[in-house]
Amino acid sequence: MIYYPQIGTNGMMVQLPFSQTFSHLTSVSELDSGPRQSYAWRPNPLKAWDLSYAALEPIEYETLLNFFLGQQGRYAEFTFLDPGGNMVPASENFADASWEKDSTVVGASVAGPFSGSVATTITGTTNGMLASTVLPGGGAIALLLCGSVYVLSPSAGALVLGFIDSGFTLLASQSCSLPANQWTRISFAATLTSLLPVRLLIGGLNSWNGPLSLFGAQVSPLGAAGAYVRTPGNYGVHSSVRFDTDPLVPQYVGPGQIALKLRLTEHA
Amino acid sequence: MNQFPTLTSGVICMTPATIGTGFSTRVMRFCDDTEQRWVARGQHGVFVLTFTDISGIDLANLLDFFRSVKGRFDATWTLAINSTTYSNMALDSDDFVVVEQRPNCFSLQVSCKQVVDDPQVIAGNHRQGQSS
Repeated sequence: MIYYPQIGTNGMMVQLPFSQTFSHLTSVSELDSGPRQSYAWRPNPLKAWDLSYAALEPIEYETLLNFFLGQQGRYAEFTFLDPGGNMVPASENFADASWEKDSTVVGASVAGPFSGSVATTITGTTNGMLASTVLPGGGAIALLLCGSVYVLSPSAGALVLGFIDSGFTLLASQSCSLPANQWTRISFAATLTSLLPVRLLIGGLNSWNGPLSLFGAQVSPLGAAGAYVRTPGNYGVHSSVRFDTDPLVPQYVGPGQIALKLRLTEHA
Repeated sequence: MNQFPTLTSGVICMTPATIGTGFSTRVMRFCDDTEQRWVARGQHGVFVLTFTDISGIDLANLLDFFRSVKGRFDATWTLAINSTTYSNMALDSDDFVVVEQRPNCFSLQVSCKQVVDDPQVIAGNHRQGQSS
């Protein structure tokens, strides 16, 4: 699995401003007599990203350059872990089949942390856990990921966030404190290396004794949680992405500072 | 039938907002400099909705709407703005472009129009201000 590189020690993949485009493809005929006919070619939109690096250090540029050379410009395909997406397939639906549940029961819907949002009550025994595959292709090599989830606990306590592989090997974990009766977003970032698919772990390791309310589980290829992104609307693992340019045109804007603009496009 | 979502603050969009009106007139010009005109469509609403520095949850709601109407495909949704509900709306574009200028602050514009004539649209109704 070939991943677009994280080019900084903090997991930096893009700089601001960061532009994302979601594109449907529709054929529309508007007849003079009034009727309108339309046909949607794509069930889901494809994405494109405009990456604007305002100031790269030479070593960071070299990382990007080597990756660009490896892909031979627009030719080869790679996987883009979208910093503007969420690698958890079903971020708000914990009853979804993508969530593996052990000693845990997904209960009723409750009010979420945002106006109009819907969270889910989770009950379980002391060692109950939820796990969702976030890197289905595996092959993580020193990949920085950050997992997060909103939690409402009736009493002060703790909950483990972590990453496990498909063989249940614990890759990294952290016990996160929970205040009583207050929605809190807990997050945990770790640099992972595993050839197997990677999963986000919520709970387990004797960390909690429900019930809890959960909302908005998220994994991003960043050093911090970032803005909450809902899935399945904005899934973060895009496995069919190419550069949209053949020339790579850096601009030297100062001593040891290189500016670069790149466009990546997703293909069906 | 879909309805354009409101932000978590309760408003539909931010300023500047364009709430305009339009016609669709076909013009055929002939070699002898004469021309023929006819009305393909009557008066209808034209809108440009602006969203500046909205949160991730607001963006998620807008994106869910964009996915549900499949870009330009669906022309049956409604837009409730300034106490008026405009029906038979369609997006102008298949592209939904989001720019993150600052961390966790997203900005975008949504252009849309009515695809059937609507007599409630007032000619020259071009307003700037917070719309709800």
